[in-house]
Amino acid sequence: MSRSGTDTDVSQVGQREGGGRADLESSAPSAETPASIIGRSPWEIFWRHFRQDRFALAGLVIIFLMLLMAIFAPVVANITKHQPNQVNLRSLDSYGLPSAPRWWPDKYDPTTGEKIAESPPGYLLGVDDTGRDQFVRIAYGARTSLQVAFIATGIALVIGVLLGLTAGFYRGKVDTVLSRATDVVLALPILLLALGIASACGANAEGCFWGLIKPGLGPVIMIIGLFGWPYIARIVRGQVLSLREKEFVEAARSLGASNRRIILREILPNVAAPIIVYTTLIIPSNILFEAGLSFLGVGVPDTTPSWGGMLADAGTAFTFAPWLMIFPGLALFLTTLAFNLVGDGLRDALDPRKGI
Amino acid sequence: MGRYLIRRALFMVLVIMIVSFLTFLIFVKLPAGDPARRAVGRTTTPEQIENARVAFGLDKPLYVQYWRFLKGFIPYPGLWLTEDVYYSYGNFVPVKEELARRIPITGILAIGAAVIWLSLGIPIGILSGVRRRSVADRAAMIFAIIGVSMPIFWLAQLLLYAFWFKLELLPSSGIPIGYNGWGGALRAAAEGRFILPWVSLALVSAAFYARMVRGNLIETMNEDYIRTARAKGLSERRVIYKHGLRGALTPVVTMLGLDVGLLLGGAFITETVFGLPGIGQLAVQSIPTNDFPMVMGVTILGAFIIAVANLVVDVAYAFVDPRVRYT
Amino acid sequence: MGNMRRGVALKRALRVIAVVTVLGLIAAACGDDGGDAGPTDEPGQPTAELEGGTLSMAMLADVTAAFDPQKEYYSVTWEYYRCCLLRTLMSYEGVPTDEGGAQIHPDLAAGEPTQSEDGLTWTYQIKPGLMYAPPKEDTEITAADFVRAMERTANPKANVGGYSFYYSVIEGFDDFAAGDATEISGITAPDTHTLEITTTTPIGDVSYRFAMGTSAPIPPDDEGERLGVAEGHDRNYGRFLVASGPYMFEGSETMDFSADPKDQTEAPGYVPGRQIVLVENPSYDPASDELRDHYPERIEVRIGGDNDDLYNQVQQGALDFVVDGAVPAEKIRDYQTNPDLQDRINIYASDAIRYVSFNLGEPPFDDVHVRKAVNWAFDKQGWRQLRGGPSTGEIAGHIFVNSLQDGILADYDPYQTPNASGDIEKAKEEMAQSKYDTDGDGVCDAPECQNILTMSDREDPYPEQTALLTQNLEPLGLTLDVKQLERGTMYNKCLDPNSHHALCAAPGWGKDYADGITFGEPLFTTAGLYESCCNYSLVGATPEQMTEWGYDVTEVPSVDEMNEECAALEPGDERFQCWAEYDQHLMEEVVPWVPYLFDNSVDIISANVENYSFDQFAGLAAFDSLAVPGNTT
Repeated sequence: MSRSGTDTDVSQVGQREGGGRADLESSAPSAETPASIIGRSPWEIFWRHFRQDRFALAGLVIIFLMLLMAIFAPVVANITKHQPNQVNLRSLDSYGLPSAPRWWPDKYDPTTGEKIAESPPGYLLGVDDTGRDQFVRIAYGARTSLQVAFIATGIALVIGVLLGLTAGFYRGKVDTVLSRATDVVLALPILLLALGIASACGANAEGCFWGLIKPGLGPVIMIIGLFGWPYIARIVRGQVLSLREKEFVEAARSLGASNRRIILREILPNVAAPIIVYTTLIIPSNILFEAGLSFLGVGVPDTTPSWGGMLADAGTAFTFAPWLMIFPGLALFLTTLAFNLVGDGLRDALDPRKGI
Repeated sequence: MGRYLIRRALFMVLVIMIVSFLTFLIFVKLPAGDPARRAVGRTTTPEQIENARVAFGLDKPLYVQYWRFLKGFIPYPGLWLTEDVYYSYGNFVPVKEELARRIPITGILAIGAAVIWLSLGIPIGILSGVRRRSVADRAAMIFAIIGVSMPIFWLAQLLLYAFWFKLELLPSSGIPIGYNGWGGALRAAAEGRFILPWVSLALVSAAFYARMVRGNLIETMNEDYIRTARAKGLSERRVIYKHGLRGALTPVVTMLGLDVGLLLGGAFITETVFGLPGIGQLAVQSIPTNDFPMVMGVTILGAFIIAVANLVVDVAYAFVDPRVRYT
Repeated sequence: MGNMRRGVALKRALRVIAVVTVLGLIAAACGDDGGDAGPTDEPGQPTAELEGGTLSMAMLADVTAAFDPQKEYYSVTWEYYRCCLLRTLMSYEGVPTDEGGAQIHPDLAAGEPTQSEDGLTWTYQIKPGLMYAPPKEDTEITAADFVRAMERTANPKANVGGYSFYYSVIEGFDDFAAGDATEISGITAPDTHTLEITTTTPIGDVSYRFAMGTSAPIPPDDEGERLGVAEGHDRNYGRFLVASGPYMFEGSETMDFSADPKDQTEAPGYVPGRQIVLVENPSYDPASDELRDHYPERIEVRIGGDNDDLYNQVQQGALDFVVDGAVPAEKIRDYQTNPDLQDRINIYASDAIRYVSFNLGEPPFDDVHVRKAVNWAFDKQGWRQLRGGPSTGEIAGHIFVNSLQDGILADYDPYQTPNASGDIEKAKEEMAQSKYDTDGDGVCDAPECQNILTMSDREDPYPEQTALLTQNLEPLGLTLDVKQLERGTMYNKCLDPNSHHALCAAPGWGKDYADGITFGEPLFTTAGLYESCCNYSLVGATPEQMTEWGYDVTEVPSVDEMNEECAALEPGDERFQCWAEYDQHLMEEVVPWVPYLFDNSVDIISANVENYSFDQFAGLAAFDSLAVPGNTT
């Protein structure tokens, strides 16, 4: 979704819904690279370019590490013997203030000059203001962010592809209606409505949508999915519009293939590559969006660790406990960066002319 | 052209209607608590609550309530955000007044940030695009990708920590007494109270615009008409600045309009972190407390601004790029 | 930086924990920290050297109804009225309870009232020659102005959100409010300086009800309109407030009441959401006022800002005081450990309790053994630590604040555990007796003990505290499903039986005035049930009501009779003893709550402030007593 995780609606691609229309029409990366002289398949060429991009590879590694962390978060919890919501009051001082990680260099309170208390052993990154293990929470936070990255984006992807295919292929009235709908959804003030939905959902014990969506990560994922599809739909539509005129489609049609077959067999594989690219590029926005909502207090509840939520907690504490702000923020930043690098790499590999 | 404008204006109206309906739906159908009960003191009687309900118009059927709110959308004096209906449940102040008070802050925030990110992003993008694969280009693109990946609220906290807490260079939160209206906001800006918020906002956008300008420039430079220009013997500099940039910058115009529109719609996070009493902060405060008239007012204002920005941008784009067809 | 929403939420918190004394029947001893304040002086006899200067304060959130006296039900606004803007018939000195702060004294009244033979009619004389603030500086305060205030209090358009029910006891008030009478028969002005108030039943506390903002006189306007200067301002009279106290809104003299109400301009000193600027009222006669200090020459209040940043500014001296904030734990630590700062932190008991309530209709809390088990397992010390440590209050062993029982139960704690940290063994013993623990091992094994619906607040420190609670209750086999809600939403859900919540984890309750009935009635009797307020545990609900709200459990204990017994007693030792027994009965037999903290009010003042007084009426520092003679700009 190209909508904001930031205030400025930063889309991670060089194209935007409103202004990008003409761009999409005219300069959509062509999905069928003519066979090169050496005779490699388009996928092999793609891979070759991608492999050469060191930044993209670095991004992949980071994503992989984050995935590991997310998957093995419970293992981390078991090893350190601290559950993510386990409160250890002894790691707080008598005023309820958190203690620093043992290796933290600057151990003196800036105002009183006294030595800051040290966390008990076993707390790698110190504790938060409830005495919970920061390291374990960051590991679990990876789950939240990656769930958003894959599930929420996935929902937007499915809806967007379906609608984009339909609009682009059938054209006419169907296309008009769908395009207008896309325009409308794109024009909605998403952060405002998201705030509203998330607030309203959180207030009901039963959840939203008649109990189908439990408060927590659910509403956030739903919002991202609901507001994120227009972007993909636009791109897919553009692609399909140009593809449906190509000869191989005509050939298939003249052989008597049904519309559905054409869509599935001929068109879809050829739009797959740009879809993958642009999807990867909106993942960072989605991650930041969930983090932003959690930061404002309307995303996931406190019991589900989220990097954005941890930064919100750190907001009042960072003058004397900066480690609470540094590590969750770093995790969030690195993950977002990784997806951006991979997305850039994919896009450049897809159409080397446009890239570096 | 005229028909196109009318169609776009109608579309704008449609969007605003939908936004209003959705907002109404969210806050009335999925209530976070009865506003009447929230408004009365804690020791209360059922009569008090009923009195409050009547005062807020909540005793009327839903469609009547919706109609009352709808009348406030019409930008006609006497109807626009009419005080009868648009009166805050939270603190008994007219919505219009509250919005008018906060617009200068958000305005200065948006415009200042836009100035910074344009003066930063576009030159960097051009430089990179022109000198591809040079060290400058690499450095710029590294800066750019870091910028677009940076969570704004984290950046804001880091900046606050460094410049306000550790180095004590800049003031942190809020606008002092007496700084009212546009004059007050400008005065606050002159005192440096907007510097950190501007930088937080601008850095991310600058990075994004740099990437975009660079990408567009490269693409444009591959176009046929550039080759023609070169073949005609024009200096490279002329080729770039006269012909290349035009193609590269038109999307920037488009985006700028949209971005500013969105910013004016509420820079929620920035205003929250830095304690700026703008429209974004108003939204963040009034939504969870179910202060419905205020929320409606903010939403509609935001939608209007964004829609108008869209419209302006569409028209400008159409003028600038004759290839665009009005579909 | 961050958590701006805290400001708004705190406003709500203070609303509910509104520490207001309407009736101070007995000046009961506070029993707690008198506070380490700066130099104090005699109230009402201000020291000349302390006068002058600009008091610079900040508020996180604005007042709740733009200073409209008939609407504001908020202790912060009440402090502005008492100290500064409005004089009332009777009033307080703005000092702590143990210095006589709960005593009521004549303010605009010339002396104590006289009571009729039957005890129903009270006659007050009004001090002559007192004038309103500009623009009404030529208008004298007369008895008719109090009648006008009562008429506005009865006006349903004007009193939204207020507390008019305190005046229903005046004869004819309800009839007037309903539109059945053209005047309130029970309040009359036989002459310009005599006010007569007649009640329908004998009550001893009329004076206290006329110490509240809604009873402050409203001046007439030149056209003789019924509501005087408030005519045409049903919604927003607060913006046009004509002051009678030592201060007024800056620029009040520019208001023009001769114009049509729609064309009148508001007093510029108050800009909602931005600032409150009070300047000296030139009409104020200090000789007529024995209660107030009025030290500052000017009071500037900035609205908005970040909680922590504002307290930093107080520490640096850029601000003098934060009105409605919460002192961050690290600041409390700094001020209590640093000898230079120690005399600038003030801690007073706010006579409020923080607690967790059970819903007696919702399993597994329909079983008293489960409720007792939770009381045993609860780590009260830990909850206090997460709130900021010992300075935030005393561990509560029972429900009523000690001052309401004359301290009889000061050492009473039926669920006392070592260091108040909870005793899981005792808890298990209790749980083993419950019907939900089928094998008697002290761990609940019924499905009702899973996913217990818990309403909580999403502002600090409640998420931390509920995390601790979740951990404490696990060994008992209880798992919680915690909903973190915005504060107002939480209170709504806790009150509404249809929400079927089982635990309400973040409420607080403060006395309205110094009598046990302010706890006993609204919290535990049928009168406090939905749609009224604030009986969250459903004690005293009838079987019909329980069925109507969708509960399978229809039998819940009731304490209505005990409450009535105590309410009928004369104030004195017997009444104290009765409330103590009521409290004990609740703690041992009914067990509707886990009370954990008797709350303290903690605030800090800047180095510029040379005098401090805690006003027990509003539960805040008395603004007029904060002396800043050196703050001249």
